[in-house]
Amino acid sequence: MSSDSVKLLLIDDDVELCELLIEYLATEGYDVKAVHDGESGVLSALSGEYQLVLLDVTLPKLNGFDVLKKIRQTSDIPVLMLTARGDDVDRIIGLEFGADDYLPKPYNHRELVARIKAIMRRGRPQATDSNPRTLSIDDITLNLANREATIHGEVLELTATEFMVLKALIEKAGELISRDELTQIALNRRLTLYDRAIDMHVSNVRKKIGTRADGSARIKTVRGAGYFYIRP
Amino acid sequence: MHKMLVWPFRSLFWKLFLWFWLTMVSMMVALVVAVAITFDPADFLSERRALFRELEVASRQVERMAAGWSTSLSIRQLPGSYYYLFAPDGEPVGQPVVPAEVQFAYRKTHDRREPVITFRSGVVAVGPRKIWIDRTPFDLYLTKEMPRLVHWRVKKVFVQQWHLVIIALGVSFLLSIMLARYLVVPIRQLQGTSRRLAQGDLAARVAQVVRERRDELGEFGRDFNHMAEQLESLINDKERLLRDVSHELRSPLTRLQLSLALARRKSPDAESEHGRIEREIERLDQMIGEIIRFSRIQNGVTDLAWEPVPLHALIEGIVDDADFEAQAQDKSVVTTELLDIEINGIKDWLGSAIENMVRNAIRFTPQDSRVEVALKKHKRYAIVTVRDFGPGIPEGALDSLFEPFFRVDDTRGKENDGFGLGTSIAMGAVKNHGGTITARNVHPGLEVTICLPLNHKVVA
Repeated sequence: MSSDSVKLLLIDDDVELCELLIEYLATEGYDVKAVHDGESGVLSALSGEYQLVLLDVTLPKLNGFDVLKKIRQTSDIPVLMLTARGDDVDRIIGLEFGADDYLPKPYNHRELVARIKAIMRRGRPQATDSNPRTLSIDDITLNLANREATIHGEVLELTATEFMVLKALIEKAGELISRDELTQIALNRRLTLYDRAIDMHVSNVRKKIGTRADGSARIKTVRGAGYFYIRP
Repeated sequence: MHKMLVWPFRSLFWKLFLWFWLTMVSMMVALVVAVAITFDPADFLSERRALFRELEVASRQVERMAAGWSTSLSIRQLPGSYYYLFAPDGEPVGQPVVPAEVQFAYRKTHDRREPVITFRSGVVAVGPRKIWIDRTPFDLYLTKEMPRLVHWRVKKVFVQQWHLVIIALGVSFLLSIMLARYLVVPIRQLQGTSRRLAQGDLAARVAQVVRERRDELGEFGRDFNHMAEQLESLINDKERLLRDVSHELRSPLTRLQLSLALARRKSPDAESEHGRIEREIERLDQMIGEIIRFSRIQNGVTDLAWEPVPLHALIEGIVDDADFEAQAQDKSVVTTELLDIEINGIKDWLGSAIENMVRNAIRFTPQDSRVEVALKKHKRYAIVTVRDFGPGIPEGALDSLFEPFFRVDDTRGKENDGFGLGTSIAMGAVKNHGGTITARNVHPGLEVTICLPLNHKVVA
């Protein structure tokens, strides 16, 4: 583990899950330490040796929201909440208490990594590279560095998979991308006979970006073949 | 709960009321009659006067007739009155048969100077009234038979004291109504509560009015509430178990996903198996999500607000998205009719119910065909129909279509992996809006109809 790798604190009482997460996030280049109860979680989070906290809601001794409150009293370390409860109420409470983001269980590991990256990159000055770190079409801008999409300058709430789908469509604007190809890019798997997952993702992206100002569609289906982004 | 103020005639209320009232009225009548029978007329000033007056009138008639005296005595009789004339020797004049009671009265009273009233075995005799005919003193007696007397008395009560009768009837009427209500209202309460329970309102309880009574009905009310509490906690426990199990399942599922991700890195050559595992995990996750949704919608548990929902706009959006998705499979979704209707409801639930029906229709409609969605108005209902052009489902299975995890035997094409909980969730959502959801075969295809009342009252 290199010394300059990002150090994460994982507060979760599910020991087995912690082991898996430590192993998996290590392959992504993160150095994770796990604690299994709220009190030691607060202590570790405030020790200053971590750059981000992954916090589970259901904890012994002190539940996740209490832990978050305690952390926020003295520190603004980024916190990503993990929870089995997909209720909107929890979500609102979590974000109100000052969580930076929220991920319901069972989370997709790719989604988790994407969120961690996004939080880590947030608020950092953009490195002005020669290679373009943004992708734009119409009024949509994709920031490839922190994986943030904006439309009319407003942030689009996209999942990691949706971001990949939109990125693929915009990169090849005006050309057909087959369902197979999109599945491979966004879901990292081959399309099988009854696999409609990619259609759902494209549909969700389409819902989120809406139509152009003049009401015309942005994404078109090519019957039975695939999708393309209509060039303005 | 609606309170019925007008009860149907065969109801317990009317039975109780009528019986009470009947009892009271007959008691009063019996009382009047009993008094009329047992009262000695002598004790009754007004009656004494009336009797003496009658005797007086009769005696004058007799005196007037004395000029054309004959042995037959014809006096204009009042109904129920008889007159007897006794000669000085005690023999009755012109009357072959004298009842024993009259003879008794005569023996007892003929030497009195003023008439007296004797009352014996139901016959009232008034006399003697001395009448001088040809310087002979005769004694005139008036008798009244008891039934006649009673009739006369009762009639007098009703004719002369009619306002008292009306007051008595009114008071007894009111008392009967009160008593009947006192007994029936709590029963109604219990009935209403049990109905609400049956309709799935588990929080329904008997009102305090009933609970606080110290009689059997109050006891029943308290027992009933106890039962309702037990029922509620049983059902809630079941639902909670369902939710808890679902939540618990998500932890191992999360671990499974992570293990899969690690496995993929370590052995890239098993890609197709890994892809399969990932899809199955996704499916499990969706199913668990559906179970949680189903259990919440069954209980009407939501933090979502009731608001005016423009159905046409909602359906337009759903159809637009569904059409986009269907195009990938060479199918299309269109609206055939779309009225401008707004109802009060929970937007997410209504949307997911309609969306679910549209998605099923897309699944079963053949390639190059379309799914037709319409929104109409019928009486006080908004009617949403979703029609596909697929094979339909067997008539016998139509009713079970909305049961959890319903499966048609492979009549609806290869892609039939059942309906899961989608249709049940849709049904729950529609029921929460006071509506119904039905399906019928329209050859070709299946048509699902959602009926939503335009003005559904939300029971908080």
